[in-house]
Amino acid sequence: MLIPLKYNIRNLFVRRTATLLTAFGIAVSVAVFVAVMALVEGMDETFVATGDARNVIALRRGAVSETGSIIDIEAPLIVRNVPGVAALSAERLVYVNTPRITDRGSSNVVIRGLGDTGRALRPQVHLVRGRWYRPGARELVVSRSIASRFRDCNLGDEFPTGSTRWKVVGLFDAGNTAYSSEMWTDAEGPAMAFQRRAWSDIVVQTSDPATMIKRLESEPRINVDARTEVDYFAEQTRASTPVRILGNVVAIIMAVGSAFAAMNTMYAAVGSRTREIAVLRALGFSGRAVALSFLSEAVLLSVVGGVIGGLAALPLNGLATGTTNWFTFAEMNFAFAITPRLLARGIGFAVAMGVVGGVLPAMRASRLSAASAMRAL
Amino acid sequence: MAFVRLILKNALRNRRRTLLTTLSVAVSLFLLVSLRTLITEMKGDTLMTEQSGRRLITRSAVSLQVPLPLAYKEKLARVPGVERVSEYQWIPSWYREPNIPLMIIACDPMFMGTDPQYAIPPDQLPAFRADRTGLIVPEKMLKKYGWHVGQRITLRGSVFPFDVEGTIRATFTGPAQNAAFCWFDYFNELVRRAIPDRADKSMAFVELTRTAADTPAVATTIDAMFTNSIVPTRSESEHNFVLGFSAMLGNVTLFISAIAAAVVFAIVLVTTNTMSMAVRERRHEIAVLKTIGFRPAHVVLLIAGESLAISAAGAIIGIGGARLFFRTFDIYDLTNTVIQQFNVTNSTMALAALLALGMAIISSLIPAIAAARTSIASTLRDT
Repeated sequence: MLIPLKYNIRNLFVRRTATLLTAFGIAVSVAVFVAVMALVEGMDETFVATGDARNVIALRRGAVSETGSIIDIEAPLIVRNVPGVAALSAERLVYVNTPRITDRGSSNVVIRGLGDTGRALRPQVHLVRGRWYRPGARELVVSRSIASRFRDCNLGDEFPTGSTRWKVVGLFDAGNTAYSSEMWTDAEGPAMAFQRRAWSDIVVQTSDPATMIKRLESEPRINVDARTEVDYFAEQTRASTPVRILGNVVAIIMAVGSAFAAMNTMYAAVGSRTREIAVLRALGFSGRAVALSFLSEAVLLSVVGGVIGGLAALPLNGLATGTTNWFTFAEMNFAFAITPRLLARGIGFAVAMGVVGGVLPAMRASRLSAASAMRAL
Repeated sequence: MAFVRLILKNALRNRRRTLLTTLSVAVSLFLLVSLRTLITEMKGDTLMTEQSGRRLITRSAVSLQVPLPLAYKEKLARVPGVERVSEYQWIPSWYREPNIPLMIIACDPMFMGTDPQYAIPPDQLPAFRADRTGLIVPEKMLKKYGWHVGQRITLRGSVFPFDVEGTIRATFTGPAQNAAFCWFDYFNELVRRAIPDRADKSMAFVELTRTAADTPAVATTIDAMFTNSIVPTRSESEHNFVLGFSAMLGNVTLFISAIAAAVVFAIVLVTTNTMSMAVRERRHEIAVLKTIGFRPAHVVLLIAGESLAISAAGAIIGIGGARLFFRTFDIYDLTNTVIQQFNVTNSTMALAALLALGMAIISSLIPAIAAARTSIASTLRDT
């Protein structure tokens, strides 16, 4: 027979100082874990939300990102004649060192020069203020979130790049996608301003991506790797790996500390309830039932901590931030994303601390025999 | 003295609890030291040599993607205060494993060997300077890939549409160990074949100035000189160049500091819990101590002292352990060359120790005051 859970809840309540101190310790670990992983989730979500399965993106063979790819000037003419191409945009991307508004320091922001159909290939992007750029006019349309975080790129501003001055004529919203970290213009813009004739990438819309990829990669006159946009951006999620590693290392070390603390609390609980344990045994509860009872108390304690920790991290959800994506070597905007799954992982993480901290004290409790426990009093 | 012995005896009464608390404090302080070291290393101080103060990096004011014309080299060499100029061109590459990036820097072979803190074996330097396709590889990189001097290797380009094929002619030791070097002339030849447009341009130039004091003035002169050219420049010290990359990461310092604050808070919670458990168990003794003439201040000292003893033990294990750990395990290998140096500095250790002291006092405060306040009569009556 099992000891009712109510017994444990009441015990936690009776020793509320120790309960709260221990639960808060676990809560801090969980909050840190959830906060760091919310960064990872936010970055990954941004990449996943960006790709369109109908779009195939061709980069120079071996290149890992659009900004790090150099494609021959004649390549679009060849790609245009590949059967199955519904629309095509050859693009030039250049990142520009841009000072931040909020703090000192600067970061690289991408200027994407799109082909004529480039905008049609990205239906996620909507103009929200001003108008679209006119080709050849050195005009920029800037993502809203870039405009709010970087200098000289708001509507009506003149954005300087060396001797060239760009007029910001519009702002766009790209939702939660990688495009919201960019400034857009026509493909001739970067060619003129940065003396860059070569293309960065070619984006092709097609009804049959798999065949298109084979055709592009087997075309001997161009030397490209092709993949769907979805796959391209999925690969970019590797950009969050350093944060993920940091988060895991920090969380594990903190969890070890919290588990030790939980162990302390549970040993104290066993110690101060020797008499009760003896009574429970005398009533006929088995050693295993006693052990299980103490273990559930530890888990209960840690769940309380996990919930507090998750709630403490919750206000971060949606907070916009930015960092450098080392694949593109350019700024990427994203928001902390605390998903229900992440909260569940946080609580699971707390439960793990509770189990590790509770198992030895629980075993000790189960080994106390009724007779000797009574005698000890 | 007797008082100190009493404190230690008290601490050792519940050995398991003391041990668990000490270990909990120790792992937390280990983490704290690691986080602070991460922040100090991001400032790039340990990557600097004495000569770094004399090195300037000149690049396009607009973007690292906009290269500078090679003609700038002559002009830079003539700027008063400049002793030597080299091209500086990144060639992002990989060796056998596309996912593990490897950086090659194309430079003027005569610039290599000018910094005594980047020591190159004396017989190897002439060999590199004599071979147009020669490579100088960091000692640590040589070991990581299992290469040897004289070996011919092919490094695949991940940005430029060509591979760099060369012979390892020399190795170097020194703080920065994340990039191999090749001749700029060789790179330029490869570019001319693959992308003629891009030939005769370098991503940046490095200048060695005559004295460190001259350096800021030289930077200003250079940038003024190119303000109205096709590619305006931005010149900065090697240190600021490195700092610029940390700044690109965004507000990492704030984020890591927030984590560190959370860790400190967690330690306080753990120690407070331990000390209040100890006080609760010893209510009677404390009453007895008071009866035989101990004053409340003594009781406070007794509790604070015990908390201090536990924290001190945790600090020695955690802080000392961190120093030992990062000396033993090379973070260079653990992070695939991303973090090159991870030196737990004395100031970091002192700071952590000070924090441990502060936390010990803070966490003993509430339990100690509670113990000092309880009246003898009511405590003894409770039994």
